[in-house]
Amino acid sequence: MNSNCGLPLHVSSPLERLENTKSHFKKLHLISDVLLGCFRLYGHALIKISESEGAIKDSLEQTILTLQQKDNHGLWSTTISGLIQELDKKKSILISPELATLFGVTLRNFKQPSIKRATVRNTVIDGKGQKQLVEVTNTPLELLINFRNKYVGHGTVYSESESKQIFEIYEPIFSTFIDSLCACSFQFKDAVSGLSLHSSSQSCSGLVVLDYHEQSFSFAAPEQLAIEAIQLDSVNAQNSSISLDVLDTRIIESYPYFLAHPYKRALEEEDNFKRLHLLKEVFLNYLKYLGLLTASEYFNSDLKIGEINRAFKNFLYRPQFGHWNAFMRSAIHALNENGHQWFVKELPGYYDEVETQPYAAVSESSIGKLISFRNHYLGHSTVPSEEKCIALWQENFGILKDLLVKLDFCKNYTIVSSDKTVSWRLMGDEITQVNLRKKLKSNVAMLNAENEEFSIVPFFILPGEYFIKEVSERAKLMVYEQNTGSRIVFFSPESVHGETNNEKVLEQLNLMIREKEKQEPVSIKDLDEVRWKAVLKENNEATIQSLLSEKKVIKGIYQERQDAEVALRSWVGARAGLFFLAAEAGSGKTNLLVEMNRQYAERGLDTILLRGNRFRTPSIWEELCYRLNLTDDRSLEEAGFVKYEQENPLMILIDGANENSNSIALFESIIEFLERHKGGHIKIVLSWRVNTKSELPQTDEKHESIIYSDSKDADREDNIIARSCHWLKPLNKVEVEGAWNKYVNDKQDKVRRKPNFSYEELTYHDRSLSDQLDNPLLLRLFLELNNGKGLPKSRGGFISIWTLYHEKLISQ
Amino acid sequence: MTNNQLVLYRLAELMLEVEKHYLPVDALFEDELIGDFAKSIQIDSPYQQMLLEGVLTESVRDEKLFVSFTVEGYFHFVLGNVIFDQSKEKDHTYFIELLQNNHLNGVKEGVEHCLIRATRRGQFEAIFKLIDSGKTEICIIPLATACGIGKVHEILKELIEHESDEDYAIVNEVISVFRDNGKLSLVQEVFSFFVELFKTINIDDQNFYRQKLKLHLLRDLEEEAFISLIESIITANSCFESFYADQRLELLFEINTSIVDKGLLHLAYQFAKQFELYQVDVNFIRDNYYNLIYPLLEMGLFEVAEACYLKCEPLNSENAIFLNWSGFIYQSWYELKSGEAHHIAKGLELYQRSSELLDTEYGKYSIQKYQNLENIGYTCSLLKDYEKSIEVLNQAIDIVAKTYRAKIVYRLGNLYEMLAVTFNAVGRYKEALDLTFLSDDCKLLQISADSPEMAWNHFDRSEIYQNLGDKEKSIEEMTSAYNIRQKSLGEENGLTIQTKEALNQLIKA
Repeated sequence: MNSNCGLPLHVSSPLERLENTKSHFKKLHLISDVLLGCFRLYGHALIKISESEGAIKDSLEQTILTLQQKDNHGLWSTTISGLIQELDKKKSILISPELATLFGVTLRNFKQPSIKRATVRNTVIDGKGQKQLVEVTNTPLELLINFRNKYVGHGTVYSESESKQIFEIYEPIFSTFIDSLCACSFQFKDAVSGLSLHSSSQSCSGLVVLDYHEQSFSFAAPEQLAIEAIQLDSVNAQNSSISLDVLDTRIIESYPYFLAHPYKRALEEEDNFKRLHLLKEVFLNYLKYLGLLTASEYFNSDLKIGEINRAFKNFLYRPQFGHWNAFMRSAIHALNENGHQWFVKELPGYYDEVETQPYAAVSESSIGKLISFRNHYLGHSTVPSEEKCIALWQENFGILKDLLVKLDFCKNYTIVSSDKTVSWRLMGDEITQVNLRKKLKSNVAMLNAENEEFSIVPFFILPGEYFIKEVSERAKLMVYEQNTGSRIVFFSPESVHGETNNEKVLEQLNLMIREKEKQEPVSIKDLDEVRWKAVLKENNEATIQSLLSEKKVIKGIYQERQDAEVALRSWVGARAGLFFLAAEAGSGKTNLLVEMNRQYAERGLDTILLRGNRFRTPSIWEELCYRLNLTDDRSLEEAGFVKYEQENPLMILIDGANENSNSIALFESIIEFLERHKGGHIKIVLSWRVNTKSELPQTDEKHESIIYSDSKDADREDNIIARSCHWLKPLNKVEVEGAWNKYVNDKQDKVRRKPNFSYEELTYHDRSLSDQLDNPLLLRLFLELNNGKGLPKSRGGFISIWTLYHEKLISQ
Repeated sequence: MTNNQLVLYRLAELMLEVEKHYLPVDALFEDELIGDFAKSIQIDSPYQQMLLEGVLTESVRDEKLFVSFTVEGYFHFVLGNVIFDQSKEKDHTYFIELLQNNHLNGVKEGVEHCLIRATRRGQFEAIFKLIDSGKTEICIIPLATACGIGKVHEILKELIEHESDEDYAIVNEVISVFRDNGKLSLVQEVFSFFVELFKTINIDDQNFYRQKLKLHLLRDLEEEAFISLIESIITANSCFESFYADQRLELLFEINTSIVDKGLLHLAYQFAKQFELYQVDVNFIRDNYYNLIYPLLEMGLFEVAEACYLKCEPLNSENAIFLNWSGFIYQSWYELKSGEAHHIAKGLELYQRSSELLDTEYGKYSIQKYQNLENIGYTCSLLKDYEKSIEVLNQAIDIVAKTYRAKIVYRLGNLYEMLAVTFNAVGRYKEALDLTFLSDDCKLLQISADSPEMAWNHFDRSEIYQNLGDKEKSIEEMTSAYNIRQKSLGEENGLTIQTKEALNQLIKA
């Protein structure tokens, strides 16, 4: 590599560290840092040049704003390419042909060095366990960005040999990139010291001057460009492994293998940076231990708890760090509430001590601190200095060790595995062969002091059973990482990935989930009032939870819909059973139904809230039986415990019935259902998204008596639904301004939605834009997009909020 | 393409391919482009970011994990980008094929977004061909966008190059979109194109939409020629007979509007009477309400105007615009003829009901609201509640000035003049006088100096001069007002008589 060609400090500094470190794992991360240093310095310079040339397109403005606040490799690369293209279009003499070549931009108006391309060949193992050779040809820069996304961005702690192998594949490409960068004639100096950043300066204030084509361009970005005086990694902070104390030894010798092994790896690791990554790995395995143990407790029990089923689906199908904690919080609480007999008896108390109590007392916990450490330093940030790595280790290792020491009880629960011939003890850093007194029921299990067995499959599996040699030879135990329902991804304590769609393990997991959801239906006659209300509550909570998690409903934010609410309240005592709510797209039907569900419940009415797109069948009665776990041979009237009457009805609210895959059949089944339950004691609110009345479903005139009429155009329509429905319109102007002010003045709102202009100012500025805000969703997005900003610039024509939203999303 | 863009784009692309708006997450793992992103559960991976942002939603159905766009509207937008790229090098039949055969929910909206994107790049051909193929509905917004960002005349020229009935139909739809969005300058540009295109006015075009556009040429006719044409239509008592009844009425009301716009109120009354426009279906009366009743009020035919109101009222009691102009009937009746308190009370009541409805329907900052405030302000002045009048009129001025971002616009003419009258009533003569001149500047942007509307300015200014003690100027202004009214409204008109009496008194004094 030609590191002496006079590259600026922002590139040469990480490059020097890369050349000086022996750790290939760290080299991989430093390649990423070299790229970022290059992007930031040359990127800011190009922005400045483009500003002076008036070559910044509207569509790049948002991106540049994002880059200044939160940058990443891909976004810099796209932006810089865009700026070069614009400068080329403007035939600016300030364009750098060498930089254009580096970024793979073909210039139309200038000569440039030829764009080189390279090819990378990688072997991957696909979901079916097959080896595949993947060949990618692209510019060195693009290949390096792909490399970064594939190997550095995802936090896997590769072994030294794996890291070396990866590094060797990309080293020639990286060299070509550096050589191309050397050809670029931009000359930078520090604006404060006046020293050149190419040779004499050892630091950068973050205020930079570019001298190019006899012009000077000054720019400042202290957070991205400031560099402290270089201290070579090896000068002040020696890499060395850490000596073990008694507690370390105890953890390494007696804790489960997937905690003990990475823990030991971390302590033995000499490179301070890689050690931090191993610390994170131990922490992740710790979270998995607690989370998967909790899940196993549930799946091994006879309990069927909707809250845990939901939490499992929400958090453990694709768990991020925080999801493990969220699952435990919910599941441990629910298991305790349901009188679960814990196999690992200490587990709930432990979680209470380390998480629940501290969080309740100071809104902070050790687990929370470690999650923020990971997110802050081991995600998309650059390689910290050796001193920083040491400081971070000292701060966070102590926290983790404390958590582990308190987990001492885990050594009393021996994890064992068994294949056809041999059994293993998966405790301590070394896996040892054992002779078990009795054959295991499942091939990975936990044994307590009384030698009672507790299955932990399929969350922990033996690699030999499911994976090809490449995987199984390197890993001794595979631990659950994620599940799509069609494959499970595992990760081993040795940092080996494996995916399987093996029917045995997959079906086992799916069966476990299915079994927990499947409940023996009960006859409504056998229910009492308490159980009935509990069933309804359970259903409604599940529906609302799904709406909240999809952000269809936001807690604390609801714009009152006076007309519709009044109509839905005054209907309660009517004889007709169906209230048809026709709603235009984005008019807030879901939020209205959730609010009405709340209001009805507050009034003491029983409610059932359902989502049209979640129906399993297009039959309302079958769906009700399924959701409420009832046998379908009885009718609601046979419930002896509660008498529904016209004035005190059961309210069934179905949101977005049009989204059902067989919406017309569903509608017909509702009509038929209400014909069978005439009299107004069972009422259904049905919301249906339409653009015009012609899209409404039709039914026979003979059903007129069961359809509540809330339309003023009653005589002008042939379709009975069209002339009876309540038409939920988008927000009117008063409601829009009310909702605007509610968002702007909401101090609890964590997502900031406070533009530097009022609704009135926007209306005068761009009426077509303000008219789009009658859609509650678009209003919310618009306020988020313009938080802290002035009035949007006019672009000619009509500005669509989706365009603004899209620009923001893709520029993150 | 940024990583986020790639993830979103690829998902929409796959959805279009499999014609389903949700995809199994597992299938994404093998995807060459986004497999790595989909597989990653790191918080900062692009796919996870999109989940966290709420752009994408993962949900479990029968133990399988699926992903979909959370918000339909945004999905349509991204889908539009995908369709745009896939339509490159293809002609409009690609869109027709998609619209007819792709079962993906949202494909129609996707095509619409695609066409909008194409217009932003100056690509209009597919739109024109789709219009000619009868797919006008999805082309309305794209064509409006094209006009909004491009050169209206060039776009319209290309549109009608291969003239079809649909071309004129969609132009009328686009005009409605512009009007709904307050883009009035674009409306003018569209009309100016057709004025140039048609060159001469004729009223025997067999295409309804083209005829409708041609009627806009009336506005540019010299007054003499205009009057002559309208009088010939009235005399012939036959016009647009070949069209359906509703279309014929629409065209007749177009003519009526152009007569009122020219301030020829007597002629407008004659025209409306001849073609029995006061007797048509209530929906037509409501839609053309102001242009029907305004000439009646100036002619002093308040009972006829009231009959129009009573006819429409049962079906339009929640129609803010209708209520506002109905209030105007009673306010004028009180002011110009009856002086009866119940008339002004009724007028104010209608204005106030209209005001509430306008706030919800059009908003406090709308042009519709200004018209209402103008009326309320003037009524307060008539009721001698000058403080309220000044407050309300200033609100109205604020709306117009902010909407047009100017202090001299036609719509402010009347408001300045009303405020001048109120200032005059409270003794703020100098300010009142200045306002009348501002009013002149505004009104003369659209009407001629001898329009009856200008007579009000002269009349009011005469009174202000009188209060300032400048008799000579007062007489001069009143004479101007009288001359205009005599000429445009006739010697027997109530307003002309009133002006003549005022002038005589001034001279005598």
